[in-house]
Formats: sequence, C-alpha cells, structure tokens
Amino acid sequence: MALKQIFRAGNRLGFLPWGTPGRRLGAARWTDLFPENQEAPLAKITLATTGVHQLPEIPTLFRHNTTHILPESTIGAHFTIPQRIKWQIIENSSESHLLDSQLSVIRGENSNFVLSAEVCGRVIGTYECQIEERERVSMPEITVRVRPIPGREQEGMCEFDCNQRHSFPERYENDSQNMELRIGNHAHRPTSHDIIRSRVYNLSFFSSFTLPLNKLLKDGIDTGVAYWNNGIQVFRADVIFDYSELQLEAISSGGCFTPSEVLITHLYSGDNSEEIVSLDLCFGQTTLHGWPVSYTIATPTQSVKIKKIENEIRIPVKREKIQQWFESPSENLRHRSITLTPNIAGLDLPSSASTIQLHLEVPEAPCLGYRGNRAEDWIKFLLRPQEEYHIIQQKHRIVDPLSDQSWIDEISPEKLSSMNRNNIYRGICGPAVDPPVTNCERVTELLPLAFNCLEDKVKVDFKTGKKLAAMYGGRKVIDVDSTEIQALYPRQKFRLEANDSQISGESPCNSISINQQGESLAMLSSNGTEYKYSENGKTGFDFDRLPEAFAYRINSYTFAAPQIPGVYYLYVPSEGGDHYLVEIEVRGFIEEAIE
Amino acid sequence: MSVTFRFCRSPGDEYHFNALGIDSTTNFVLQTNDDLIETVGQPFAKDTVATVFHVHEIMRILLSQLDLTEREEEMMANSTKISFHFERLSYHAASVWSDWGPAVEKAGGCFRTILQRMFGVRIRQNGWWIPHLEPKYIEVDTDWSIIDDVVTTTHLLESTSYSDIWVSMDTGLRLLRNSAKPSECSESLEHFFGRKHRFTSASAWLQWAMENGTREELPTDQGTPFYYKGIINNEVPRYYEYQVRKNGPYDSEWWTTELDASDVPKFSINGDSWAFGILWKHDEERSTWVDTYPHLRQLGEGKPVLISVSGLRLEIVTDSEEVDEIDLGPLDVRRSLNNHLVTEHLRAIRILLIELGHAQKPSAEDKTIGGLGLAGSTVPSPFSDIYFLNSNSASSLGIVIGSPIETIIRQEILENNWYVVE
Repeated sequence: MALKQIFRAGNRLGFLPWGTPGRRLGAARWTDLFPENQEAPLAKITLATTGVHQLPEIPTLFRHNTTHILPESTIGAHFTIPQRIKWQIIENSSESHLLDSQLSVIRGENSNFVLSAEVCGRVIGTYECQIEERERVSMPEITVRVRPIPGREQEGMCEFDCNQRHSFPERYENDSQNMELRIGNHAHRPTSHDIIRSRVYNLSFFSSFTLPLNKLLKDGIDTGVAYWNNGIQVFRADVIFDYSELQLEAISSGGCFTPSEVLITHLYSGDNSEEIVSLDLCFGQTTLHGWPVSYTIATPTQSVKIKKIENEIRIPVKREKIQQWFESPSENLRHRSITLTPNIAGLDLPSSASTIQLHLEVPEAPCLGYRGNRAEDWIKFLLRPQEEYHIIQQKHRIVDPLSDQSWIDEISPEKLSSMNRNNIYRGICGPAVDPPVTNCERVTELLPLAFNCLEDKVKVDFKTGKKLAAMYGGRKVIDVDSTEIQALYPRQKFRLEANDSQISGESPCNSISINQQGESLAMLSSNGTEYKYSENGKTGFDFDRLPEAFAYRINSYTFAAPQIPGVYYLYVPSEGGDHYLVEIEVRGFIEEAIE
Repeated sequence: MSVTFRFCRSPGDEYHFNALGIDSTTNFVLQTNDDLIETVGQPFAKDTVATVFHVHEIMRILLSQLDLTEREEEMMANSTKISFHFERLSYHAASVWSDWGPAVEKAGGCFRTILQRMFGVRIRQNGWWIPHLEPKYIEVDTDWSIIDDVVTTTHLLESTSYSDIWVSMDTGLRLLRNSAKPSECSESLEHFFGRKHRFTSASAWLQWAMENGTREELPTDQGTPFYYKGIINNEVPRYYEYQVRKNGPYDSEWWTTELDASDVPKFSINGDSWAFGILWKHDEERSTWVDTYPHLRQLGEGKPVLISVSGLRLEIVTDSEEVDEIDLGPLDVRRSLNNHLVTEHLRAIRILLIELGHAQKPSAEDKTIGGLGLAGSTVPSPFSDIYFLNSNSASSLGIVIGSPIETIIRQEILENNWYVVE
C-alpha cells in the first residue's frame, strides 16, 4: 500500500512513492490513470504560429537561357524552424520551367512568369519575374529640349533629340539595332538612332523624335526612359523633358470678378435675373506656334469650352447663377472658384490654368449681449426682409438704444440698419456658445495693475499696459464706414479711420459711448498716465461707471476700449461736421484668440 | 576512475568473523570510483577501512538471520527490531573495520536511511520492512541485472564465480551477470521504473493538465505574472530553479513579463495559442522568490487555466495512523507536489522545444543531469530517478555511477522523463 495517494474528484489517480518534509518527491505513479492497456499517446503539441516564415531574397530579373537554383528553405527565426519551400510557376508567358528548385529561364525580352513560394501547404510569397534577353546597362539621366515644328500640317507636332555620351568600365559593341523611348505605358520609336564609338570604352548614343505634344504631355508626365539596344546589351537612361522652348506660358490667362465680393443680403434679395457681378477674362495669344488655342471655363455648376475671339471678354453673371454656385457643394462656404484652363493641340494644360474667386460677404454675428433664448440661425436671420425685423422688434419690445440720440439722423441708414438688426438678434437669441466675457488668467492679473480704477480716474501703469498690449497683438485700426461689429479686448488701444484717413484732433474728446441699455457715458481724456473726465465735457459723468468708459489721448489720436466686456456704441463727432458711429464688442481675452 | 578492490584472506579465526557470519576465506572483488583506494592495503583484515558495501552487507546478514513477522501475507521486520540488532552487530563490525563509523555515515547514518539506500528491501508504513530473502533480480540489459535481494555476498559467491559479480564499495550496488542468473525471479527495468504509470510524453502531460485545470482569473495580490521562455540558447535546455529563487525572475534569462515577447514560446493546444506562466512573489521574511499559480495563458481573450495542485483539484490522502518521523504533513505534501508539478510543467515546455528542433537532445553518455528536471527526491529511494544518477551529493547518491549499467540506466530515466535520447 502506498504512503501518499493522489485523488481527484473522489477518484484515485495514483500515489507518491516517497517524500520528506519540504523536499521533492519521487516521480508520481499514475497507476489508476493509465491502465496496463493504455491507449496510444496523444498527438504532439506544436508551436503556435506567432512568427512569420521569411523567404530568402531572390532576383526577379532573369536572363534568357540561364538556370538558377532557388533557395530550398525559409530563413529560420525565433521558434520558427526553417521550412522547405515548394516553388511553382503559377503564371507564365515564357517557356521557363522548374524542376524541383532548379529554374530554367527560356524566352526573350519582356516575357515574364510568376513564381510562388509555398510553405507547409500555404503560399507565402509570389514573385513577378521578368526575362531580359540582353544585359541591362544604366547610364546617367538625359534632359531633352522639346521644340515646336511650326508650319507642320498636324497641329502640336514637336521634335527633340535624345542623345547621351558615356564612358563605361568595359568595352561594349556599338552596333545599334533599335531604340525606344517609353513615356508612361507607351513606347515611341525614333526617326533615327545610332551608337558611335568615340574611344575604346566611350560610346555616344543618338536618337531623334517627332511626336505630337499630346503624346508627350499626356497625363502630365514629363519624364520617360530611353533604351538603345545593341546585339548584346540594353543601354538605359532616364529622360526629363524640357518644354521651355514651347513657351506654353504665353497662352496662360487670367481674370477677375467685378465686384469680387457679394454681400449675402444682396445675393438673396432682388430680382434673380439681375446681373450683379461680371466675370472679366483676359486671354493670352490666340495661337502658339501656329497651333490654335482654346479654353475651358469650369464654374461650380458647369464646364464650357470656348474659342478665343478677343483678348478680353466680360461675361455678366446673374444673381440666380451665383446663388446656384453658392448652393453647390464645396469645401469652402465663403467663396466659389472659376477655373480657366488653356487647351492646345487637343491637350488641356492644367499647369497653365488660372483660378478666379468670388467671395460671399457674410456680416459677423454678434458675440455679446444676448438677451433672448431662441436659437435663430444667423444666416437665416440675415436673409429676413427688413419689415420682418420691425415686426420682431415690436413683438419682443426690443428697445433701440440709439433712438433717443439727437444725432441719429446724421448716421447713414445702412449703418443704423445693421446695428438695429444686430440689436434685434441679441434681443431674441441666446448664445450658442459661452460668450467671451471672461479674460484669461494672465489678463485678469495684469488688467487692474495696468488700469487701476480709482474714485475719479483710471491710473495707468505704462509698462504693464505695454505687456497687455503685446498680448492683444497691438493697436487696432477701425474703419468707421464699416457696418461690421468691431471686436476689441479690455482697454485695447485703437484708432479710427475714415476714407483711409486717421480721425484726429480734439473733436473725439467730445465723443460719447452708449451701452446696450441706451445709457451714455462721456469720453475720458488720457494723458498717458491716467484717464480722467474732462471738465469741458458737455455731459456729466457717472464715476461709478469708470470701467465702462472709453478714453482718448489727443497726442496720439488713440482710443482705449472700456475695461468691462460688453456691447458699446461709440459716437464720434468730427471737426468737418461728419459724425461717426461704431458698434463695438469688448470681448474677454483668451490666449488662443491671437492665434 | 574505477579501481579494482580485492578482498584478502582473513588474518585469523577471530570471533568477529564468526559473529558477523562472514567466511573469512572468501575471495572476491569490489569496485570503486575513489582514487585513494590504491593506498589501502587489506580492507577486509582487522584495522582496515570499511565502506558502504560493508555496512549494507552487515544489514543483509542481519535481515537474513532475523525472525520475521507475517503481516498482510508478507514477511516483515519492524524498524525497532532491525535497529536493535543492527546496533548489536555494529559493535562486532567496528572491531573488524577501523573506519566503520564513517562507513555507516556514508551509507546513510540512520539505519532507516541505510535501508532506503539498499536494494532488496521494500518499505511500508509504520516502520515495517519487507526484505527479499529469496534471490530477486532487475534485468537491466543483456549483460547485467541488479541484485534486488538481501542474500549475503558471501552466500552468493558459494554458487557464483566472483567474476560474475560486480559490487560497488562506494554505493553498495550489486550486479550479477545474466549468464549466472537463474532464469526465473527477474523483473524488467521498465517495470521497476513504472514506465506504464507515467505520462508518455510532454504533450500528454500538458494536454492532461490543460483538460483537468481550472479556468479562472489569477489573484492580483500573489505576485507578478511571468512567462517561461523554455530555452535561452540552442544547447540542451536546463533550468536551475535555485538560481531564480535566489536572484528573482526579473534578472532571469528564463522569465519575462511580456507575454507577447518573441522568445516566449506559444503552443497550439486545442486550436488556441498558449504560453506557460507563473506568479513570482518575493518572500521578504525568507529573502527568496516564491513561484505559485502555474498556469497556461491563452493569447487574446480568455481566462488562464490554472494547473497547480489546487488548479488540477488534486487531493493527497494520507493514513492518519502514520506516525513515522519521515512522514510528510499534509501541507508539506501539497507544497512538495506543487513543486513536482512545476518541475514537470517546465520540463514539458523544454522537451516540446527540443522535439520541435529548437534545442539539443540530452545524451545518455552525458553525466551532467543538473537542470534537466528529472523526477526525483533528495531521499535516496529506489523510486527516485535522482537516486540512480545524482553523483554530486556528498552522501552515497548516484548509485549506478561508474557501474556497467550507468549509461543504460541514464537513458531509461531520461526516456521515462519524456526526453528523446540521442
């Protein structure tokens, strides 16, 4: 009876013959697991295929009438034992054949066959093999100059010489048998060719071609390969075509839209048949080397081929057509392109094409001052008729903050109209994203240090103010005639321009700013170190609103934006009697804004 | 080196020889691997050296003279009785051989161990021993058989020429030439090693472990999973667990934490790919690394298959009446069996890689058996493979080393442990 018996699930499997505390045991005897008439042993466990059989490298270019011994086994790797390779020819346009691993290559130039390598019953590699009848000898690259043949009956006919001279390390025969130039998948024969020996190891290769341009430049390919054959070798050289003598640039064209920009409200209002822009095209030469030139105009919706009649033509474009262009699919929402491609000898020349763009002007949507809760699409809102704005304003009782101002009649209706539109939009909509009223940490830190609001003035620290200005990207210039909302950062410096002239002098000192609630505030006067209220002002000043006040420095004609983000209307009278009104949003600065 | 050791005639009819039952006129040959034996003159004479053979021979004299008790249809002797009589005869033996004390030590010191290292005795629980009083042989090859009985050498030589006997004085192994052996009373070496009760191959072992293991997640607090590379070069693959337990798996060439590493072999079992893994954890108290939770880890998704004692749901049943001091407590048995299983698993992985051509096979001629993972025990029992081959131990292990059957025994043991031998 054994000392230690091994059981599993109540069944005895065998015994441990001997043992001592903490030591190894003798071999376990599985007396009950394997009866005397035990079955045949289980199949052997094999390695899982986690590695890949590697095939030795073999050439894929073989000479005619040669034999090769192909490698008999794969390259071994970790836990991958080299395996015998079974080679087979699976496709064959030659008379080559295999006997075990011996490959006999038979038949001429350009015939081919496909070798497959099978390992353990699985094809793990195939080789497309070419047969060369002659030895291949490489030569340096050749640049050939393509020339026109004026007066040839067939338009676009060109000629060029493809020549090379080379010194070889051994002596080759100069019996030129044939020559071929391959461009893409096409082979071309020369009008003449020769190989001339200049020294023992020096050969000069000559060939002349006459080819139509559309065979040379087809598919934009401007390279080829030249082959000269003697009785034993094939001499090969890459060829680069130089088209400069064709002067293809002479037929390039250009053009523009007049105007180059269409306001979205203008595009979608009025008569659809109205011609609202014109496409002005300017063409080059009518013929090139006697070859007629035509053009293809590709718009977003159609492509038209035209023969040139005059050097310049103007094509009026109707509102309806432009609407179609902008409603056609495009990656860019704000412009559409017209392409003008010259065509010569039946060949489009995309490299000489020009592109003309028509831009769609879409006023920027307000960012700040939202008071409603609707999610009205800005573009759809812009396209509403004016009368609808009025109805919305009435319905929602939206107050025009500028309505009480005495100078309101002196402001252009377009500007007032856009400001009123923006005000109505702010009145009915809620912000789609968080409004930019919060400054970044650095600006929050610098702002009170640079512009310290005291009881009756703002103390300015020049150096800190410069740091802030550097973060803002410097001073801004605002065109007072623009109907766009002008974006500024807290206490950012800016200047005003009208008709490309800077607004200067003392009159801006009498400017006032009006907030979204219609409350006006006088302009502060800046002396570089402080902003303070000038006693000369015609209006009073609410010192509690110092951070909301603009400032103007007469020495530099420079304004400073309010410190608190929000919507402001800046009214600036001028000495010449003009009055300017600018809609400004002072937005919180986040560092990404500059980028 | 093997040197012939020749017994000389007894110097006289002193009582020692009679008391020991030795015929002092007997003339026969002992074999040894000890180079110094050439300096010994007359070992069988008074004041000459004693060897393991002498100790075993005294034990055989004792067992052949002892009154045995019939138990379970077998004639047995109890260890207490054996001990008493062996100590009495030792007195006489010590007066014959001056180095008797060291010889007893080399034979195992304790009389129980001496018996464990002798052929001709089967050991049963509760200190009962079955001496083979009748001739019994284990036929090793066409030339030699191991003598597996307690028939004294003096008695054996009465019917056999000394040239037909091969006796090792170092280990006590006795061989009899087959031509001098009776045709009956033999058993085969295959039967002796229990070949039919072992798994036939590494594949059979791993597939049985896979089918009987438990699919469950590994514990997260019992160590870091490492995966076994199996081989570190293309020589005969060996694994020295002591080195890893001492230096840790992170510094070991055999282990990596990267399951996807290219040098971790993955095996195809039941259509899936598996690698062998284990959890290694450092035992701070004992300053050693401990390996637990042997498992097969499937590539991709799927829980591992635990193939430890608990993973295989093996239970060890011991007789509660067993009180022998060399008995294993249940926890120790489980621990020993776990070590045994890990040794089996690691050897199986290495052998698979040998079979697949990634490493060399061991040679039966190569005496170096370290790191091969042969099933054995530090207790030199005839059941243990190590008992026959381990020549490195200070005590008399490696019982066939230097004998005519060394190579055939090594080959048999390697094959029993699934090696395909050159």
